[in-house]
Amino acid sequence: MRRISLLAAAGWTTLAFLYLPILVLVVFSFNSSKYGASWGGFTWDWYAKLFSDHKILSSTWNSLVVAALSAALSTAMGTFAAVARGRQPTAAERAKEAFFYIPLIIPELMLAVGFLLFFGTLKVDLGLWALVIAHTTLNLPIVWLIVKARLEKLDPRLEDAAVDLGATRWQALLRITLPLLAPAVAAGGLMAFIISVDCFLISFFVAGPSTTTLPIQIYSMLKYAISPEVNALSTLLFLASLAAVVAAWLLQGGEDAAIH
Amino acid sequence: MSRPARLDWPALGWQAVFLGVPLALIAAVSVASRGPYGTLEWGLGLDAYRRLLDPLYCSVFARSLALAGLNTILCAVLAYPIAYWIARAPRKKQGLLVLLVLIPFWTNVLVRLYAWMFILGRAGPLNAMLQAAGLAQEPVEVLFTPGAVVLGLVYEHLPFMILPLYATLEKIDWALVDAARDLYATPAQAFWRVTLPLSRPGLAAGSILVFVWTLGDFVTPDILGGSKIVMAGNLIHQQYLVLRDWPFGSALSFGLMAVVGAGLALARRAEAVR
Amino acid sequence: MSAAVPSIELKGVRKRFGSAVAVDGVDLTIGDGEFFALLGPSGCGKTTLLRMIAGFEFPDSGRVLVEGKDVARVPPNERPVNMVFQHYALFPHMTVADNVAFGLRMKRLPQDEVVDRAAEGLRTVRLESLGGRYPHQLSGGQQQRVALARALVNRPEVLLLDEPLAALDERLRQDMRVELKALQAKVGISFVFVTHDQEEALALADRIAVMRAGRIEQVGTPQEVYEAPATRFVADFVGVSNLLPGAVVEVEPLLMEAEGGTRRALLEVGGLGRVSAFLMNGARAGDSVTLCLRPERIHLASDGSEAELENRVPGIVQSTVFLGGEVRYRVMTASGRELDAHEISSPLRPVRRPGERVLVQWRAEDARPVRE
Repeated sequence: MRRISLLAAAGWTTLAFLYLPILVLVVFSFNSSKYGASWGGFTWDWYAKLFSDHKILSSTWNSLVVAALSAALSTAMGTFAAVARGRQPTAAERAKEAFFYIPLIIPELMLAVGFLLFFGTLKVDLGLWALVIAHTTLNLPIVWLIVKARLEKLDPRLEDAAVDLGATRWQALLRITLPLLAPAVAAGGLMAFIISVDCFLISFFVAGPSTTTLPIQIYSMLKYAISPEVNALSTLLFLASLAAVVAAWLLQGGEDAAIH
Repeated sequence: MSRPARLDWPALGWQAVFLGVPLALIAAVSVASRGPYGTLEWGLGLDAYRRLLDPLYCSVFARSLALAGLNTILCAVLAYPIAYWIARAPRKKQGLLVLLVLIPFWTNVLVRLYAWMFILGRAGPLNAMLQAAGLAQEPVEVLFTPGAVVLGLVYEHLPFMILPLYATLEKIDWALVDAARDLYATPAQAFWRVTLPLSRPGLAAGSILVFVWTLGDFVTPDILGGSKIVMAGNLIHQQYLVLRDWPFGSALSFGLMAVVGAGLALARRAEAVR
Repeated sequence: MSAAVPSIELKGVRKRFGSAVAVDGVDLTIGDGEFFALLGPSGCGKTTLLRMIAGFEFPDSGRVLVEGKDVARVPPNERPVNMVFQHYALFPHMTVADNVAFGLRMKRLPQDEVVDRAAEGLRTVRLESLGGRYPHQLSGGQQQRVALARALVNRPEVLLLDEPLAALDERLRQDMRVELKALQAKVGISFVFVTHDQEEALALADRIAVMRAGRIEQVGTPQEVYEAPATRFVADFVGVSNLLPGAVVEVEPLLMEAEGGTRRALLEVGGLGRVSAFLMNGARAGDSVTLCLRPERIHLASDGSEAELENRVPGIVQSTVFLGGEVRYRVMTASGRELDAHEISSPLRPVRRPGERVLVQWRAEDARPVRE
């Protein structure tokens, strides 16, 4: 019994280590004192400042646009790629899978560098579209993986049953497989959206001087102009990822319930 | 009977153009050279690779490797108790605890690093507490030290170790541990001889993730190390975005890939030997 | 449709997956209205055969005829057969009624006909009140009946069933056997089912094809397969057998031609000595033969009692298992051979204890020669 409680203590301590720094930011985002650790009283000022800072607003808007477009593109292509698999894996099939896995295993920095060279060599300023392309490439394998994992849990006989009952392979796909994959497709899309909004490294290398996303904006604030506004912004971002992760978790939970 | 295979053509085409071409470009540019006005001159030269052998750059790679190794070990040691604790918790609670690990994991990297930057800074809460407790008279320099970078690396990568470790531990049949205890093993022996070997796949997966991601990291040393602690990622960043030396940056990238590849191959060898 | 046209005919059907031969030249005819079982261990090709009849696999060579028409290259959605899948494959996102109506909707039947026939289908399997439920809200037995209704509403020429009872617990399985048999009698079409459970095949089927390694070892009624197994494999797979390899010592020249082309012969069987059995005409002295002797055909008599049957070997009871209606013995003969003997338990017959000396006896016609 004592060993278990020791373990629980270690567990809670580790969780505290993970959360404490963020909670410190949350607390200080309401601190009216501009400098450091001294408490100057409660205030909403930093949030108000945030919402009137047009640089932050426009970079947030950019991030959301890029995330929405790249999530839509990667979800569509990733889902169809996952669904296209045959039942018996062939050598070509395995080569294709290995190719899809590349962005998941190589360091993100390599992708960032590759994109920089790619768009640099093109010599066309694609603006936000460069980011959409880069994020879609990063996210496509993630959606593919999530949908594929769910597909592998589906009984292949379900599609056979539909065909046995007179459906064509396409009808079986549309009426049986895709509806059953819907939670995974939604989870994949949500994941792609979050990853795109969060993405700093690749965006930082790819974005031209005229395009700024929220993480790039935060980076330049950290580097050149720290103010308590960053605390407020961090708090909001933390809350946003909290909401997104809980939503994705509930989606996956619903998925598990549907299987049993 | 299989579904129409044509459905994966858009994805394949997309990845071929926007993943295949950029990666091939890194290779092509690494053997190109820089013209007099900073323009790129295509060709087949190994100058950029020759520069990699400069002791200065070798030492940066060595430091990156050392930090990645240290970070991997620290993460493994810190992750094991919590992963084990979650895996032995009641089913319902497990999901919730995993969720708790996931939330910081999905919070923006810059936010998480900034949190430490704020806490460790000269005027931050840590120094305020030290001074209030009378442990320090002057503000202590914690930020922009190697220690801060290691702390940041551990903080950032810990969930990468907890999650795969938990996934393996959760699948362990605990009756095996009971069996070991029944066969006269002490709790420590049961852990050492049964649990730990069974959790090795998770430990290996987590270690690979942490190791590879640390090697490719440039944000953590950039933010928590100032410009004092240079890792391979910072070097690459500098070549591309500051000095605009694309051939050398590409050669450095390949150097990094080679180190990562060697690390992975070594890990696989070690697994195979066991 | 004349009664002379068989429901299904397979002619020289072959199928390989990569280098593995799944079905290796199968010829089979299944009559109209027959309840037919494909029985064999896992990997014997029985499921592949069923999937070829359904259209999920196309044979590499050979012909598949359904109601006299060659359908070897016709996709499953265009074949007049329907299937009850292993684990049922009910669509989890559709209600029971929508599951049952799926095939009718795919055929684009008018909406009111779809509703009528789906309701009728649910009535046939006594689930008319559960149409609004989802599959996961049903018990295993109910899911099984939905799967049956979903296939049968399409009025197929043949119903295919892949391990239909495997997912049910023992008690329910017994009930569903009776129900399936009654359902087949009611709808009157051929049922072809795949099973690895010999008891299920014996209980349900009019005829059984026993498969092994892609080939059919024997086709026959349950009695034929059990009483007269054609091969050593069938004898071993269906029921329990004592398999006795031996050599023919002499064939009696002419006793009588009664046993339909068989003759009495004397064999030397290791561990048993000389035994007599009926062999096919054409057996000669020196041939090696394996005999299959069912345990319940063996009678045990107390040592020293008068012999009643022509084959008798002394032995010692090794183990006794009392199962209520039946007692199972393992007996070791004097020259070191183990035999299984099953006796109906009876208050008139004492249960023999291990160590007891007994006389093992059986009739010559009860030990059947089997091919290797």
